[in-house]
Amino acid sequence: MSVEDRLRAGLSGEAEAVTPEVEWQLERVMGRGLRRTRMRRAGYGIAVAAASAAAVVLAFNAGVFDPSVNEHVPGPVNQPEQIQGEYVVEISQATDRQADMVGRWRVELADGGVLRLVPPRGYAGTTSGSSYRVAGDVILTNAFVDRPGCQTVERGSYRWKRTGSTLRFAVVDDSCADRELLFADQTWEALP
Amino acid sequence: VGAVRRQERLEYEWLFRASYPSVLRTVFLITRDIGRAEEVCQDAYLLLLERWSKVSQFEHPEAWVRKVAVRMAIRVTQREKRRTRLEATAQNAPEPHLPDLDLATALGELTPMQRAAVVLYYYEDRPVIEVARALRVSPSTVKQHLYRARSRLAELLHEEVRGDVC
Repeated sequence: MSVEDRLRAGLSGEAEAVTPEVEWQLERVMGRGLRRTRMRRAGYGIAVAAASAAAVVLAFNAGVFDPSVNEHVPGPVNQPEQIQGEYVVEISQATDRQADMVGRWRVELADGGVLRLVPPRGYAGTTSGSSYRVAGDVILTNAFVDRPGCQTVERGSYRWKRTGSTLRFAVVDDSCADRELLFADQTWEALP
Repeated sequence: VGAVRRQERLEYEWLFRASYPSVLRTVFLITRDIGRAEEVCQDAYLLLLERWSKVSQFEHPEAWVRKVAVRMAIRVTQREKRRTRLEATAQNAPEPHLPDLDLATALGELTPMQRAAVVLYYYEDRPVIEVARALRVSPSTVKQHLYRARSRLAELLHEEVRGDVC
């Protein structure tokens, strides 16, 4: 037998002896990816906080906070109070698994981080015990934590923007499809 | 945004399931250590996940991750070889489950680059030009690696060389 023949046979034999645990490895890669994204965002948050602190120091030294120099210091664009209120959300399309979510939702982002959800008549899950927290222009919420596929995803985070009576969200980090359906894919209309 | 992310994730998972076993086997043949091969594949597929929106537009995303994994495997094996040499421990001990123990031992005598060239050429059956691209060297360098690898193996295994590199 030549070296080449022995190599071909031998390498194939060795390779066949390997039994990959595909699903387990896929789960690990996805988990690591999620953790890395979170860490990067946390690092970004720290960098932003450090930059803000530096800016405050510079501004203070430059006399920006001296009322005699500058009487009107504009506040941040997104204030937590801006998000509070009652809204209606109309879900018109959903996957087969989420079909019970289709319909009109009434949502209240109440004071103290209480999130009240009044689902459409056909909704099969529970909505009690939901809460939210606002950190700048990001909202974190644990809504739908009892829904299939969301039990292991404690909370999701979304960037929010209020324009007039309309509230919109863009997903920052969430793998709960039901939460994404209510938050990221819809327009929330504030009730008068 | 949510729908696009979900779709991208499904496509990524599909590619993972389809390509992972074959990439793992190739990487294992280079590293000769299943634990290390799994680590290398983890890192390569994590990189793919992070660049998925770009790499998924390529004609063959699986070729991209395979190339990355092979290069990582070579680097890891080179590092490991240097480390074991420094520690002066027994090198190239054959894996207990390998069917051809003499071949396994002999493969351990090759440099990581020679081994990678041998695996891609003889196991994956890739032409020299593709092996060269994967290893980021010229085709003549690949032929040189293969020639030296075959000669060394022939010597160690007391076999003859046919010399079938085209």
